[in-house]
Amino acid sequence: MNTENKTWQGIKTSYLKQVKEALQTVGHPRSKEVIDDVCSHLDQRFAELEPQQQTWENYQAIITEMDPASDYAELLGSDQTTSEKNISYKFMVLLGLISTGILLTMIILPKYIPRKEQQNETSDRNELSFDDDPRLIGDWQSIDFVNSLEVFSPSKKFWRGDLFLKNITFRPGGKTSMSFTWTKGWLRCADAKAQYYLQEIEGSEYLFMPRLSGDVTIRGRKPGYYVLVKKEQAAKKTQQKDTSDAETKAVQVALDWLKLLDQHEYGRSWDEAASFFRQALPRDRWINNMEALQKPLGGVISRNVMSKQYLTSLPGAPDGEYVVMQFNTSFENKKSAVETVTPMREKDGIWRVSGYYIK
Amino acid sequence: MNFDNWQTQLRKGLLDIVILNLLQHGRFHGYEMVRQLKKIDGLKIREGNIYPILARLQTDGLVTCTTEASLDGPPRKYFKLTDLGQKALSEMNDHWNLVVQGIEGITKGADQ
Repeated sequence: MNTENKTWQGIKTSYLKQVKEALQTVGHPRSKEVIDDVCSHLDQRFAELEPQQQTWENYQAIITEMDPASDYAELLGSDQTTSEKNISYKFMVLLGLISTGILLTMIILPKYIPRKEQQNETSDRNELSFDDDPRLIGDWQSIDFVNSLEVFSPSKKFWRGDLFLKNITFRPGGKTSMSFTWTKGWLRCADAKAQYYLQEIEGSEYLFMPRLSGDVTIRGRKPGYYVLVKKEQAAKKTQQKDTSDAETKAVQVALDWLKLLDQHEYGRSWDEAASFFRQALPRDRWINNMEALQKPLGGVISRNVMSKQYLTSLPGAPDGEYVVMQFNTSFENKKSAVETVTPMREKDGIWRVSGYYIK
Repeated sequence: MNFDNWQTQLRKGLLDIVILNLLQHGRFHGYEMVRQLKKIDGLKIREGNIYPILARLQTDGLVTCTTEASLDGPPRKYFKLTDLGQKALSEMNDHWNLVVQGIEGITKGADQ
């Protein structure tokens, strides 16, 4: 075992490799199936770990609870040749019987099959009536996985790992983009069904979709829930986050740039400004203006952000990304002034100041 | 005597009959079966034990397998006893009862 690679993927791959090597010694035709089953089993064990349980020690414990790799070969057995011969013989006999059966079925049985039985099966399926839920219809995107609805917080992700379910579409009439169906309040899959919940939290709608495992369907434990949001809502949230990130970045750029003015490094402030700024105002003129207007104000006593706004167009400026912000600033010789600074994102992706006014 | 070794051999020998008896109660997927079998005191099942045995039982025609979608992850393989498996299980249980009765008889005899 490579102890340097202390990840779940690493320990799982290493174990499966050992199992594969062990099974190669018996050459059983179902060896690959066994490996796939063991792989699924391990995935399930990992998925059941709470985020705080995802430790190297627990990964090792899971592997320890599996078989030693050498046992797989012994349990699968190496007498498949004999078995296959038996099966082949049995298969031929069965084939003969089945063929005869099919022939009889085609000739005789249609006359006697009670049509009612066939109808009952359909009827049973129809009994699962469909109730519409317009709020559910649409494309949803998973954002979290929680062990109960109460622990979900829009501002803090609960599940640290990768989410197995990424997207799902609920279509009108009870269909989904996956293999299960829905009716108001319920999801159905094969012989299992589970309740879903739609909740509005802090102005956004969230879908809590249960994850059905054997622990839920067999042992009656409470399910965990995927938390999903409508795709358009997710896109809006992403955009909001991008805007917020841009504003945060722009404020920092503005403050760093204002420090140059505070230190009377006017030439350097021109050098580090956006090209739009430099093209609009020659370096000497900028320095002269600042010497005449800003220097007499004296040192900065305090400077606080009053407002900031992300914009994509400004009068007299090319379209782009701008953050217009105002600072309430107190200088030694002017107790209250308003500085307006406008950083913009330039083509190289870097934010630089494109405008400065003081009033 | 190496008690652990004896336990291991006993477990390996019993797994076929235990799995078939479990499947007598309905269809299960592998992970559920492991959880159920882990509840049997003394069996001390290892979690990987059942998969090679299920593969062998399939090859022998005693169980069948169908794959179905699930709500909680990748499609699941459900295992079910076949008629041939039911018949084999019946014979195995009869034989097992004979063995248990025989052992009990010896034990009682030894006690007296």
